[in-house]
Amino acid sequence: MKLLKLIKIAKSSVLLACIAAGCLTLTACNDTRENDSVVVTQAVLDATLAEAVDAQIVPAVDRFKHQNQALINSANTFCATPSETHLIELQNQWKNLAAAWYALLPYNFGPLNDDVVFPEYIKVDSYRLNGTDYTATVRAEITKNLKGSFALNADYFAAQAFQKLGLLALEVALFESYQNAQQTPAVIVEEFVQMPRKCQVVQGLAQQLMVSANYFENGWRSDYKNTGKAYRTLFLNAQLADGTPPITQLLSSVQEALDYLKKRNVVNNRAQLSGETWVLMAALVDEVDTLLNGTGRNQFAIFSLMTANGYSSSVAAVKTNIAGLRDAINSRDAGVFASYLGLLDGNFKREIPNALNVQLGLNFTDGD
Amino acid sequence: MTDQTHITRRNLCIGSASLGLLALTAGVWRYAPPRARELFISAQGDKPETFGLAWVDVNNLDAHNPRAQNLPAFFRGHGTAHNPVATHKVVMLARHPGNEAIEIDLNQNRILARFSCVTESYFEGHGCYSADGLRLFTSETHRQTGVGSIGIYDTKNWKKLGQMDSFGIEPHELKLMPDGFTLVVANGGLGYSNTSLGYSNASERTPNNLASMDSNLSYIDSRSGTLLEQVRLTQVPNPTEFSAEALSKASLRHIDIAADGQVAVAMQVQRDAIADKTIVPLAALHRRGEALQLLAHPMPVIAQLQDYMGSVAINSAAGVAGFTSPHGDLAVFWHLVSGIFAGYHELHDACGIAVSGDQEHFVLSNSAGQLRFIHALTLQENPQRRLAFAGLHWDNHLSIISTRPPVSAA
Repeated sequence: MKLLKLIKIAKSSVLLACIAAGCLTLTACNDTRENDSVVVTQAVLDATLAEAVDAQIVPAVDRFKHQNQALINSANTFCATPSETHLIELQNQWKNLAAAWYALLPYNFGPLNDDVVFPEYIKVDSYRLNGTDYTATVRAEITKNLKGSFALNADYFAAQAFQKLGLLALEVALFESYQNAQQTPAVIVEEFVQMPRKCQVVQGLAQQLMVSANYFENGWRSDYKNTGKAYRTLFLNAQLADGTPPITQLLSSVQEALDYLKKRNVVNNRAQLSGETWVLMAALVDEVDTLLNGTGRNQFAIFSLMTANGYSSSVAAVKTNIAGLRDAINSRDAGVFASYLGLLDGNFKREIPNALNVQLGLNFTDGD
Repeated sequence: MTDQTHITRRNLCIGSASLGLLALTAGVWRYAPPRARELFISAQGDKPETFGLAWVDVNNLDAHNPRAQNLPAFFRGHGTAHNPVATHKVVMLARHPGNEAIEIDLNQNRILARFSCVTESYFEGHGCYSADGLRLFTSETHRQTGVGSIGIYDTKNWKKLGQMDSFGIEPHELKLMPDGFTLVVANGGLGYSNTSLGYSNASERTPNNLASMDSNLSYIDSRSGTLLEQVRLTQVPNPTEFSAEALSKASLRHIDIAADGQVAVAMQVQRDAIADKTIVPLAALHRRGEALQLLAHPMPVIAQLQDYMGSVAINSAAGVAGFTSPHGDLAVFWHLVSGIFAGYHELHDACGIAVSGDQEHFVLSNSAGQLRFIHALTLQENPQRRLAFAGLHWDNHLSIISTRPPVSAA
């Protein structure tokens, strides 16, 4: 008798579960909704954010630091025995470092951008602030440093303004001679041999960049702005100082990076000496693509949430735009690249937050 | 006995007097004007079905479950205007290019009237009352010609009495100066094609006059419509720090006025129209008879404002002007006398800013329904006073008003 009751209860439970699943399926089939309630729970969203942080953001911070250390090592090798081979190795390491930076660029929040007046990121990438090209400033500074007799030590570089530091300063120092801006490796190597202070410049700039890399890593992993807590902890526990929800922070940051690439025409203005600009664009697009798709080690990914919520057509639209960006990168077409940047930027403003039921903010536009 | 009688009579007199005093006191209490309420008020909503006007009586909130009064309007509002005489009445005007407006009774929590501008024009979202409360002045633009004007409405029946020149295209915010008759108007200078205005999503509005845009600050005699003074950014002395081209692409849009008549201006820059990457100031101060004073430093902070400021409020007691940038997720502050940068506060999508009635705080609002209290002198936030209103999305402008119900309602 008891067994019969249990079977009946079990059957009822299965029936209820089927009805519930049917309801969820029906809900999920509707792909035309905007900002109405979604079926994905807060716990699933939290797990997705944790996956994004642990599988992508923190590793991107680590990679930047790792590549920075590799640049320092490479510079030491080159400076000990200057040669064209070692110069090209050093230049390639700069390219690796720059690619690591562009993979980190979509995550320009937390330790990277924690001060309104002097955010740390501008010491890495001065152009990111407002699209001002400081190449002339950097060239003048390198000339001053080479011609001077003052000590080019850590204190000196620590005191430098952000415009004279970072990836741009290293690119100018490594990819052209200060006299006549020649890019032939032999000429550059000869200049390093004749002017030992140029090695001090490169090593000083690389060490100073490491200060920023350490700041990013320490903030994300250990102690954010002397709070005694890792930014990772604050972020995943939704304890950001200004009260911004972490998913809002993440999506806004990626959107701003895409907006920056388009608005500041980065592809035609950065990494021109190294000729690496398209590789850097690809690094950023790859990062954003993986953020949306997930690393594949589990089911927690933004695209998965969007699909579960019934927004598979939005997912398809975003994928189309990412594919368009890749095509533009492969064909080196800056115009098409800018167009798809605008479309993907729009996806991060509308389709993605709508599908996740996330409020990024109101539409405060020019003319308001 | 006699003494007793005497005492009794004396006590009786005292008692009578006391009763009379009590009665008088009770009468005074009975007919005393009700205590003024301080209301935080703003257009709110993130979609047509939620657009409305909401307000909060912050001194009478349930700390555990703060609730706002929310009145649906079914159009996206922008700014509000507070009746200086009938203090329980406000008007909310439609965001451009809408042509609707509502008058609200804050005591009865209801819409008293709906009115609109003439069909060939649209509201620019702002208005202000005349000092006697009998007229409402609104910023308007003619749909076909793009000509800017100041609409004049009778506040008794909301009939349009006429209009006057705004002395520029795209008038945006306007306010009444302390003299009680001079209007100061920020003419934004942006022109839009009629096709552009047809978009349902206003973010798709694209100015069609970027090459020739001409923004100005105009002082107008509201009694006669006479232009009293007009200033432009391009007239700023020694503009060598910023290119004239860049300054000409800054649109003067929002204003507030200090008790002594100093005006603070918030701007938006049309970056696409500027060939170079010059950082353009987004805030300025002005006194009648002088040139605009740019608030141009510190540069890294201004760069983070993303060429966009949304609102401005002056705290006269503290001598500080506060500005918001929802694009930069920042509120920034400058000292009025020196023009020196005073500080900032980070808040996601913050756009509304106003000054509390006691002038002790700046109050910020954002699209997530949050309110933040920033001390006007220290510019530090008081986190204990954070408020969040679930389901509300504060729009561009926050106002803080003092309203006293009519005596008869007590």
